[in-house]
Amino acid sequence: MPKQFTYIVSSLHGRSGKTLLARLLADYLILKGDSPELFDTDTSEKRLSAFFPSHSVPIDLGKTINQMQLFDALVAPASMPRIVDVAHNAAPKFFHLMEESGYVEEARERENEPAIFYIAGSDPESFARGLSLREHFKNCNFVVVENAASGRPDRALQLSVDYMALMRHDLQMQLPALDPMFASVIDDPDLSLSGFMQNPPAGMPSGKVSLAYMSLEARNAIRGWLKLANAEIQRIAETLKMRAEIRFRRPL
Amino acid sequence: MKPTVLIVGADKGGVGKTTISRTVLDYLASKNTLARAFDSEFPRGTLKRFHPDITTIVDVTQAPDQMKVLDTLSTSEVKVSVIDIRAGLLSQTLKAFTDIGFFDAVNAGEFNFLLFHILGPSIASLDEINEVMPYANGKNYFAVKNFVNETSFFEWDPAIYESYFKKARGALDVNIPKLNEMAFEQVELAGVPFSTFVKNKNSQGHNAKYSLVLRGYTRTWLNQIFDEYDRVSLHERLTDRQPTARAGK
Repeated sequence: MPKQFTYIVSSLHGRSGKTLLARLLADYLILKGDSPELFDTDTSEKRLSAFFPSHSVPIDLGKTINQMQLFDALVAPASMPRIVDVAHNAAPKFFHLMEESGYVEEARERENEPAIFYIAGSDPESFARGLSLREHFKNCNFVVVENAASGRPDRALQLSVDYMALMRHDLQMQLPALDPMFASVIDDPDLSLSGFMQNPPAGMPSGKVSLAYMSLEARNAIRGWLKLANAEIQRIAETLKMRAEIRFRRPL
Repeated sequence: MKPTVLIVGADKGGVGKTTISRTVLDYLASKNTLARAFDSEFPRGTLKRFHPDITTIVDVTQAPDQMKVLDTLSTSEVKVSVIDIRAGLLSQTLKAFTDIGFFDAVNAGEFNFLLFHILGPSIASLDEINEVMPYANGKNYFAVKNFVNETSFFEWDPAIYESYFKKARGALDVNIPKLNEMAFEQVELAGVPFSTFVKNKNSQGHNAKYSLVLRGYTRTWLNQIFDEYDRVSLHERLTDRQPTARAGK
């Protein structure tokens, strides 16, 4: 059985693009013909579940039974990739359990490759936190994600030790920014990004359709943005795959 | 090395004696120290279920079984004997051992004796301290506070607790943390030592399918207990060596 990846998306704060990245990853995988299994640890908003109701498992990490549901599923042999959206308030619990259970080693034994996607923000703590995560999970794939929509960190932060250390990480991903004008358009839970990429409507589609299809301008902006995002995800996914095959050891 | 007897007991039931005995056996195994165990839950022992290879079921009130335990101390290859005393039998067993002359032999330096006194959440169990403590001769008496089966009612009144401990000078205070309930249950069902559960093996040594999360909880919990045992130099005391560190509160 080929190796399957588990993409763990995390950040220190909310509103950092975590669910967006999880969603983009899911749609990228769907476009490739996979049917990823999604775990949504956000108990209040469940935004990821709203986009993929049939692929998602809601997880309340405050409950032991849910903790088991998540981690026992994550170490089970997989035929499909998995995505975990780690809500910022569930992150301490999630990573504590991840460490305590010895998840990474056990997942590897069963041909599962975990990869942490950490979205750095624009404040010093988020970089310190990213470093500490990377340090804690030395044997886990780690991707530092810069969300272009959050803007570049200020100069003082760019000169900080933590920023420079995290930004020297060998696997960096750029999450491109969508024109803010259309940001709310893609928030529509009925809009499937993979569906949008597969069947861009030539004319005006009939029935209830997302605003994304409505104007030529929106279509082009969203399409361009998705292409960039997918290319970037593909680059990272291919790198991770190659590394898994050669049992690459991450330099520290 | 002198033969060592560790008695694990309480006069009250339901304080988790057998759980503690099991952690001690796991602890000794982790230190590569052979041990044998006696389970006084006659005729069917809980301890025997988890550690069948090293456990003998005995009726500690009966002379033939007392002989099985005590007369073999000097001859057995295995120097550490853990005796899990059934609820309500602790005082009685200690008296019986006195009558046999066991404690005279301990005082004469023939054997090593340690007492794990498992305390429950009530004052009654603190009252037991006065009764039981003298047998351990002031040293190697462990007051074990077991939080493992605790629900929410468990509260130690520090004032009362301190007043008892003033009397019990030289007592070593051991705290057993709480284990996640579901993890505890799954180990019960598996019927294997905690360390075997953590390694995801069944009683035949084959790979099992225990929950990763519950194994994680159990591993952390067991490590905390081992740290606690190390803190009171349990291994040194059981193997008749000088404690490396004095236990403090």
